[in-house]
Amino acid sequence: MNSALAIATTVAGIAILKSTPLIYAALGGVISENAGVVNIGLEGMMAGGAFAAVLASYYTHSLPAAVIAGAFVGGALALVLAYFAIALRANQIIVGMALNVFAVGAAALLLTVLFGQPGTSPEVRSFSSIASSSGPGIAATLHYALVWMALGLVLCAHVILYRTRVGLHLRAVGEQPRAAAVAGIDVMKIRYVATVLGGVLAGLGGAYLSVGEVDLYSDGMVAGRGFIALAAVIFGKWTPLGSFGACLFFGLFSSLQIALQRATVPAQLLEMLPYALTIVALAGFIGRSRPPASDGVPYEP
Amino acid sequence: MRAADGPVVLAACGVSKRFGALVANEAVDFDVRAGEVHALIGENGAGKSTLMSLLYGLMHPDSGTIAVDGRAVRFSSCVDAMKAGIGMVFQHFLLVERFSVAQNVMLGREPGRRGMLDRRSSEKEVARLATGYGFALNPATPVEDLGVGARQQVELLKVLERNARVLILDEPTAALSPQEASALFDIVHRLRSEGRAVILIAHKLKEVLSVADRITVLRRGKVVGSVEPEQADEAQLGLMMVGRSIDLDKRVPRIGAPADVALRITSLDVPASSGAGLHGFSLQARAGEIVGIAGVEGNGQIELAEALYGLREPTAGAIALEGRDITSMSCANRRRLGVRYVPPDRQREGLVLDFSTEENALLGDQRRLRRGSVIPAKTMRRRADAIAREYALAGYSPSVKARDYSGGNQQRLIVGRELSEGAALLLVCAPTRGLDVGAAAVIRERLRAARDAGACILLVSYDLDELRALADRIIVLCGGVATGELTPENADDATLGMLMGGIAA
Ligand SMILES: Nc1ncnc2c1ncn2[C@@H]1O[C@H](COP(=O)(O)OP(=O)(O)O)[C@@H](O)[C@H]1O
Ligand SMILES: [Mg+2]
Repeated sequence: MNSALAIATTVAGIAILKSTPLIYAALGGVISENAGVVNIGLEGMMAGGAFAAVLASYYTHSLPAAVIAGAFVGGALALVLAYFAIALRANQIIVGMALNVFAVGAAALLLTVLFGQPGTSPEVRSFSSIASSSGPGIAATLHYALVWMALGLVLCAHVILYRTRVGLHLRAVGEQPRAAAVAGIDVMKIRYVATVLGGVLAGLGGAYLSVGEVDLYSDGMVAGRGFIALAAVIFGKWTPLGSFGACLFFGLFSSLQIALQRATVPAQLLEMLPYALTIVALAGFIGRSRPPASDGVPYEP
Repeated sequence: MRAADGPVVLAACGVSKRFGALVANEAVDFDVRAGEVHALIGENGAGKSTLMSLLYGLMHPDSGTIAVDGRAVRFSSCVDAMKAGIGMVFQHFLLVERFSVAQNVMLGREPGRRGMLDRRSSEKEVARLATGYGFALNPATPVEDLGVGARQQVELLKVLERNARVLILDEPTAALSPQEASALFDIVHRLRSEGRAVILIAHKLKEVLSVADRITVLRRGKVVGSVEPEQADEAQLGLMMVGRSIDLDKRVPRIGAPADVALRITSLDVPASSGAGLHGFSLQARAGEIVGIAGVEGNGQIELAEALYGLREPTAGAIALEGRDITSMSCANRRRLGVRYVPPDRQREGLVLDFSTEENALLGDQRRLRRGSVIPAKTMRRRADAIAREYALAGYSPSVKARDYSGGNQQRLIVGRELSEGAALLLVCAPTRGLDVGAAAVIRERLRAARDAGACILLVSYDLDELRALADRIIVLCGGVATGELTPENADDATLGMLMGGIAA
């Protein structure tokens, strides 16, 4: 009995940790898509953020600097997407895919150039390393700082999107940009800000993967989480709370996957689940999931 | 009533606007006074919307000036125009579907403190404004749940909330039912009596003559002239608009008598789409006859047309065409028998807007015209060319996208396609809605020609003048039930109105 409870708590705990990077990225997707920009590049922005955080930690030994670097690189990659998608009205899916390939490739190249070792970076100062170096209590809190921050950001995003003027304007821009423009709302500015903010969040998700969960960057470490985050956006009906729920759900499956590692369930089956569920969501089984009306549609003034 | 000697509040002085080689506006002088309804009319593509865009700051004139209260201004965007007290309701509504009425009306000017929204006070404000104008709108309803008439009211509220002194209404009645249109004109009168200036673009000359204080006619970008309604009639305005005389609503007698019964509908029940559904409807129509279907929009007309074309499955009853039962036949097979359809929404159902003219001209017959698994380019080209020639498609080239045609030309393309090989049964819904007189005349002339060639035509229309001008008899639907049948001579507005309201004549 006692051991069953212990297992359940462990599974739940791991589920939250596993869903944190997804929450960051999905929140980024929710914000940019509500403003009308589809960000397929979340995967690449996570990879860029993960690598940048390791790099910053390696050179400065400062965790805040690592987190900021991750956010910055995620935002910078998103700025590229924003420029192509908004100013040049390029196809958002294609630009996003290009960024994915670019970011993952650039990180792999820099691993070799800077550290002289292909595949993985050296170990750096990370959130888990402070847990062992300082006392308990405070250390545990610090260790999970990025997890708490993700939860806080979910609430912030919810309040901003549905309770503030700027959130209303952002959604108007994603629904019917022309109506927004005629009402005096700066469509371009809002789309730029939302896209870059989305990239910053994805970058934070990446930083969590490299300096939050472990203490290094390795090739392929993002492992499709950017795409799962996109699935969570759809599954969560383009809302912060809904996507948060979807991320927890997907996190639970990763956690089960770890728990059942020695059981007979093939891991691939569990890995497949988020995508299968997204198809179910899109097919309308969990109620209509409808994107913002102008999601992915370039705006021509 | 006509007390339009207020000061000129908004004026265009000698404005010209070119799009490449096309001259959309040429040295146009146009102004509107406080307390005046100034109607602007002209064919599709005459440059009316362009002139309004110039007045509203959406575009800049290449030459000439815009003046507000007699002072020349240069708006950098429509936000400046709004600040100057000008408001515009666009031809295609600009509403955020998923937002509520109140959110749409207050967009960009939401009340609230420190960036937070105050939903209650914005809904209260909108409710106050709506009640003041007699609009039955709930401020909390999402716009996507509203009909066309109500959406229009939301657009008007957007402008009125900013307390605009000048209202520009670009074809506000194009998508409205006659009832909704007359309600709109009451509002227009009300706005005028409040001392506001109204610029109204409309196509129905009768409407224009009854609401406007002044009428200006635009043809190919130039002002042909301005008249006062007391000194003008429909024929004269039509002449000014198209340069030749057109009597749109004149009846043209049929050549020869109608032949045998072609279409036999027996106690048809059709489930509702957006309207009332159809209940126990029976009809016999002859080849060479136009049967008009009258009724307030949403009383089963579309269900009837869709059931006849095979888009909607009847739950009971039977449809026979030339003696063959087609009740549950597919659209494709019905087309083989000569059933043709001009749908009510030309942009959504009639055309694929991003397809070329050639491709659109082929739609519906693609399977029949193929050779093996390809459709010969020559076949496509020839068909499109023939339609363009016969229907005088302005701006035609085989590769032009349907999206780039004006509404009138889009409808010509659809009717041309549906009639390109004759028809046994032609189903036509609101064929001239929103079209200028020139285009409407072409469409009506073609429908008459199809009738004379022996087609059985079912004409669903919300325009009573159109029904009287075209139909050989008129059947009235109310709540999905036929409430009466009239000859066009007996179909005066009062009788039709009673039948449409479900009151037996
Ligand atoms: N933005 C634009 N670019 C190019 N051509 C345009 C544009 N807007 C309108 N036109 C052309 O200018 C002419 C006048 O159009 P418009 O003012 O919309 O006519 P109306 O409102 O009277 O039907 C049409 O031939 C139309 O195709
Ligand atoms: Mg127009």
